[in-house]
Amino acid sequence: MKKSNSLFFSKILYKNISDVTGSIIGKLSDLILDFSSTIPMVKAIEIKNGKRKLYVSSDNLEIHHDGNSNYLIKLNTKTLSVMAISYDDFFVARDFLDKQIVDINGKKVERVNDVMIGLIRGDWKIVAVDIGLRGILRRLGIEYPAILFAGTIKKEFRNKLVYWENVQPLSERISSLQLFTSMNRLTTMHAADIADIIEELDKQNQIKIFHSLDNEKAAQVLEEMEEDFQLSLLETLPDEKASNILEIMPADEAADILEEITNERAERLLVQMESENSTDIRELMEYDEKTAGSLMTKDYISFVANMRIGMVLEELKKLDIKESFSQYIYLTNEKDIFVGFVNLLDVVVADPNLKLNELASISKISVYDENKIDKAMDLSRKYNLLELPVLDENQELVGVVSLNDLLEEYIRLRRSVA
Amino acid sequence: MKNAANKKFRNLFLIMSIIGPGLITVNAGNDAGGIATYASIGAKYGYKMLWGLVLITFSLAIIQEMNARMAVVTGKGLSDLIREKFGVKWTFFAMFILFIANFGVVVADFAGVASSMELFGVSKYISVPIVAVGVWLLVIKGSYAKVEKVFLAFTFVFFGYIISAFMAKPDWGEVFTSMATPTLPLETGFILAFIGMIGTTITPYMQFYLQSSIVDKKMNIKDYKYEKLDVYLGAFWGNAVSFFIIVSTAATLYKSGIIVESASDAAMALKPLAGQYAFILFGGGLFGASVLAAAIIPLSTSYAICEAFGWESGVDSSYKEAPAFLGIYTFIIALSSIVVLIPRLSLMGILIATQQIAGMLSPIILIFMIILVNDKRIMGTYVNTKIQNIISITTVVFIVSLSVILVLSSLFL
Repeated sequence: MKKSNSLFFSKILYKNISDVTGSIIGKLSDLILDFSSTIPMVKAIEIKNGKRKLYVSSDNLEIHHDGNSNYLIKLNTKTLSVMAISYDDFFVARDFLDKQIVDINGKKVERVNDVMIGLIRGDWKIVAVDIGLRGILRRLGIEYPAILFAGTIKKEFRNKLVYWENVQPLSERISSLQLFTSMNRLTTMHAADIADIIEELDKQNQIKIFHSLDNEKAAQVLEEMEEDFQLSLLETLPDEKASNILEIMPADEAADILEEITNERAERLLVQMESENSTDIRELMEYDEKTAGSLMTKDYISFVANMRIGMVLEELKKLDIKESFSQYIYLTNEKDIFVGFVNLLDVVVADPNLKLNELASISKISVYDENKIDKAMDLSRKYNLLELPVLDENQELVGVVSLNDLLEEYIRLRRSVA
Repeated sequence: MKNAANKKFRNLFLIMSIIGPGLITVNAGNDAGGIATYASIGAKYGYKMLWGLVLITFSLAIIQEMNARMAVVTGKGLSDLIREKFGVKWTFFAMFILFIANFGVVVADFAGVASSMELFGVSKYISVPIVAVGVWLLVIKGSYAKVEKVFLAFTFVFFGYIISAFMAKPDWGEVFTSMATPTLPLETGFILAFIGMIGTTITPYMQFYLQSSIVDKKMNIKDYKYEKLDVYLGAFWGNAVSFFIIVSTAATLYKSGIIVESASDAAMALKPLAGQYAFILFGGGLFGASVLAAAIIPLSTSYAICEAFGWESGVDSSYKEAPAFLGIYTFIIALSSIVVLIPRLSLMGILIATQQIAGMLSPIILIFMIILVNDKRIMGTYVNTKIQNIISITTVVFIVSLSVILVLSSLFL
């Protein structure tokens, strides 16, 4: 008999457990976890004897095996210390095994087939989660026959483990509080990945995870989602939070969403925003779906055309840079009438004493807000532009539309026709 | 004013979008095996089983409402819930049962393809391989959704049985008396037929399919009342069609002592409506229903199994991404069409026997469901009411007792 320092939970689940004298006191039926440290620690074990359940401290839990995967579980103490365990505690078999987790590294929702526990400095801790086929076979009790069989057809069954630092549990038993604090590993992921994961989950988990994100992240995630998910999640948010999140999103995306909800709620959300933002959104909501105007954003950098470049560079440094800014600088006259646009790089390398409108590389390509998306696509393809200025009927610059947004909308429209 | 009208329109739209899964599921349940079973029951036993159909309609409504409720409350599919509550071993058992029952139903549907095409003089050795490959390609290439409605349209033919039943002028007094007077002769044939009727009405696959399609709708609990309406409507409307199939076959075939041995016998019940065109009408309807189910059931089986074990699934995945999903799907279609191609096999026999297998297996899935829907940790305040438990548990006990009686009588009689 050798002492085990790490093993799969399924090997000891529902196995006999004995006391210090070696007489059997019941079956080990669950482990109860303490989440206060970074790696959850086993604090108690549930022992089932007939119909009776007993919770004792796991302090003196010893596990031995004979090399043939027969495990001997023993509580090596003269006095069993009974623990007070509540319904709200976290049970491994009840709340974690067979449930879903997010594999932060693999960016996927997976199911827990087995759990690996290890003895770390005297405490039993959760080391990893098995998400592979081998875990299922082990639970079915046919792991080794299956491996032998696989060997005959020259295949290998490897364990598919996700180590604890990459595991985000999703069980209903994990209260929002735990998710908010030490457990929220999802926030380290890219918004597009979080969006994909939320779309894969059931409604309760969708809501729980989405609500645990801060407004900034929530806005990014919402932006990456399919429309029906956007709407169903927005419905679960209180007005104030919904309004704050929409305010952070690019105005064109926010306008798209607000057009799809009831007029009463859209109005309530708009009223709570700063008037500058809500005016932008309202303006965008006026545009017809297939027009350039409906897709444009107000996040662009513009200067008066006769400003000196040295001055422009100074001003640029003072700007609150947003992720969505592109590489173009837009030029207007004092009355906001569009003059042209120029590549940021051309500005940086130019003679600081020149005026913006003296640069040779000024482009005057533009679309009107009422132009169809196809027209904007053609222009940006023809002139290799990542962004196009959008003008209203008075030649005023009212926004810019990016190739990225154009493409997304174009694909969406094509798909809804097909 | 405009807003009020707008809101009304929105509500109407909402109701329209919610109504659907229940109706579609039960109508898809009236597939080849269903038509054959109801027709043979009507022909062989006349109105004697109508009381049973009336009772299992209530069972079906209650059971499907349980699925709808679980879908809306948990947002999870039935296999997800089974896995999370019962662990790997029980899940494996449940999936094994589901697989066997569904495999049988798919075999029946390919038998339906074969016998419907035989009505038009096409040999099964030609029709079955073509349809098997065709269905497989349509689903894998993602163009299935476009043609689904065509096959669904074919199945409207079966509403013809309603008209046919009236035109055959059955003795309505006798029909109503039979609906209200339970008779259960203790003979193997009758009990087997009865189990087949239950099996084709409360098919295991329907529970998985319905729950998943409601989950996909991402419905809020406040809209649940519409969904409830949908499943009740679906159950009653679907079984109304079954009812008239039995009545029309009883009024025509039973009266003239014809036992349904092939599709052409079953088609004769449509003669009061369509005369000499009865065969064309019946053949078309049977073909549509069979193809529809032969596409949906293998797909829903693969989804259910992969969901339970956490395997990648989806028709737009490559074989490398989702080997289990595409493997199971392909295996079911390939093997079930091969079974139908075995020479000298009675197609009618397959159609009916597979429904009886599904009937005997159905209580197992129902027991899983009843335990789940009564679990407060999962359902919160939406657990079953007493009445719902009485009806669903009685259904299980009834089917199990029938199977036990059947086994005992075949041993001792």
